[in-house]
Amino acid sequence: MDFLELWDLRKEFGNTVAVDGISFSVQQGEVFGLLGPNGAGKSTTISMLCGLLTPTAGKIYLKGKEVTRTSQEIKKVLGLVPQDVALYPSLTARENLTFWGKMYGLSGSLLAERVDEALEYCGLSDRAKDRIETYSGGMKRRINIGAALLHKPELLIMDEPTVGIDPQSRTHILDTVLRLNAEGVTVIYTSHYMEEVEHLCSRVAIMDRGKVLALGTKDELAKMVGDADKIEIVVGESAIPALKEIEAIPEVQSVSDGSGVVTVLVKQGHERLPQILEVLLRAGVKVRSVNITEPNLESVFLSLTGRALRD
Amino acid sequence: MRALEIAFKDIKTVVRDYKALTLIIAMPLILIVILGAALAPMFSKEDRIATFKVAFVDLNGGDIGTYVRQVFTSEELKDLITLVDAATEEDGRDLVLKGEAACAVIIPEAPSSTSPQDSLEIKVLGDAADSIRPEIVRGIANVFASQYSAVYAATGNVVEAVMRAAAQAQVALSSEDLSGLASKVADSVTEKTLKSRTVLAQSAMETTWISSAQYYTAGMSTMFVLFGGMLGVKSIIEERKMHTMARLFATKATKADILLGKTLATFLICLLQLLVLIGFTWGVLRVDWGGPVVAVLGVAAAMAFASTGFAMFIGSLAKTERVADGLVNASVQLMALLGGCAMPIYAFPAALHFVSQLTITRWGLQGFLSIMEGRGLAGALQPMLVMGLMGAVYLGFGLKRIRLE
Ligand SMILES: Nc1ncnc2c1ncn2[C@@H]1O[C@H](COP(=O)(O)OP(=O)(O)OP(=O)(O)O)[C@@H](O)[C@H]1O
Ligand SMILES: [Mg+2]
Repeated sequence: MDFLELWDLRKEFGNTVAVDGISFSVQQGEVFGLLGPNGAGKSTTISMLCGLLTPTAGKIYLKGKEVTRTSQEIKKVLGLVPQDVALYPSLTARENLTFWGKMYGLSGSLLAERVDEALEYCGLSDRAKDRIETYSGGMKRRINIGAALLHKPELLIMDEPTVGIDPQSRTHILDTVLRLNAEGVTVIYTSHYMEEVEHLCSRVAIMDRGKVLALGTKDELAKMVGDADKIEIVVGESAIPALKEIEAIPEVQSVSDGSGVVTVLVKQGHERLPQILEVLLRAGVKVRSVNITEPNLESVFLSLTGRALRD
Repeated sequence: MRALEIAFKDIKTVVRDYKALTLIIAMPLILIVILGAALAPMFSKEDRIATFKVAFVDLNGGDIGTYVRQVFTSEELKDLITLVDAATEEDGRDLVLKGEAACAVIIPEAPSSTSPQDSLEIKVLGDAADSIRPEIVRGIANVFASQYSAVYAATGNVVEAVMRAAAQAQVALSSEDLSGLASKVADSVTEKTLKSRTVLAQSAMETTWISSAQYYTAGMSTMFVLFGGMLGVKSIIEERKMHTMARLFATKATKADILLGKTLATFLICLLQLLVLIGFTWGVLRVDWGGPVVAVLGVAAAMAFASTGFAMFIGSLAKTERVADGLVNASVQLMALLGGCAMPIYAFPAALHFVSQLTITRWGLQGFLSIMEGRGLAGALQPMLVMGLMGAVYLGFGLKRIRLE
């Protein structure tokens, strides 16, 4: 029995199938990543986990107990960081946190203590008395996370907590996730930023169009695309005449040409690079820059769907 | 407990929202000042009530009828009241129902001047929707009736005294002499009382009739408390949009907590709004709200409750803020108009009086006005009850249908 289990979970909105029968489990103490492009069904999955939406079909078990919409059980255990900042703009950070703490059943000195702690976590203790509406986007997102920590949840669910924020806040949030995880909090981290998920998560589920396409550790997933490296070559003019010849080079898996960039998937990219460049030069193509990336989740997604994570 | 916290949070939010405060506090105050001053002539002593018709049913046909007619057609009242004769009580009632007369005065068959009785009762039939004009006529009729009884008693005493004196003096008095004497006494006393009577009628009018400032203070407060209610309901729609509603559901707060909290918040916002309006108009603008304070607070609380119910009802119909705003603006203006907040109800055609009774505003206004007219808690009980019932029906429907998520 795992900490959290999803069994063939499905959600339809009218004719739209938002989540199309997904199953996976999350182990206690891990940071589990849910990676997928816009509209993949990540938020819908999370809403069902939190009891905010009733699944059309399927079951969710938390510590062996079934989660239903009315089960109060999960609310004690769970902290939700919603995708959209869900705070009251005209209340101060402290007032917001105090209110949410009360909603989790905290009161008195314990509540005051937890609010201070949360402010500390967010790194915004000095701005506690300012109204949320005066905060920057990144600061709002940090308080948005703080509000989910007040009752010390065992399971923290974060739905794209870093969308549209400054690098400083982003680093802060990523550090917070690792720090909480080190303290024993199980985290489900949703994102369409491959780098974040790679940095944080021990295991990742890749979602697209309501389905889980692949699931495993980073290395397991990377192996799915084999050990092919991705070489991106920025060229001065059309390289189409040369593509056939590049494709003929042994070990090259695929070549594509779009908006001035030739993308080549090839094993041992570093060794094959001179050969590829030579073909291009011979064809009279001007090479502006070259970039080699080793296999990552982005390339896994690309190979699974034929599309990039971010369009 | 959670419901209270939710309510406090909402009130805090409203208090910090200058736009909201402008709508529910500043706007009505400005309108009270403007309307109270601009429309003061409508309420001035001469024009406060345009001449109105009174159906006159004289079943007596004798002196009493003549006396009462004299009172109503006296110099002091002729600018206010025009008598329309009706043959029977039924005819009189008909005139009132058709709106052709504000009320009907019925002079009873007995007593007649030949068989006088100790007490005279003059019936006044009026439309319940009109709290003022039948009341004035009733006042005049009552004073006349009691004075008539006094005159009768005085005449009897005088005649008796004369007869005793005549017996002692061994003077024989014929019955003609006696009745002549009696009617002379009665006439002179009646003439005096008629004079004092019309004076009384006027002074009674002055105390019961309210000023334009009072009228519009009550009217605008009643109208704008409906906007106060809307703030509560819009906060539900807003929380849906801001995603805090979803977050609330992810906490230990239950649906019941949230609904109760929102209802409580709406009620408290309305009540606070009314208290501020009453306090300010009373303390700064020196508007006389009448008394006792319990009655004013009672009507305020009932009105706040009715407004809360109505707001929840609107909230259950409207999914977006824009639709809610549209529904509210339309319905509040209609209710304010029909309820008499903008124009006194008695100026309406009779058919609208019934429709008026279906609005919350009409009962709120009636409650406040009757206290201002000095009818105290007793006069405010019926409006309070009606508003309580209306509020409960609206609230029940609203709470059942409103969408939180
Ligand atoms: N309440 C709803 N009513 C109708 N359709 C919905 C609703 N919520 C989500 N959907 C649809 O379900 C699909 C999945 O949406 P979801 O929000 O779960 O995606 P996501 O992976 O969280 O995307 P993003 O990265 O943009 O947040 C989308 O096609 C969306 O339009
Ligand atoms: Mg989402």
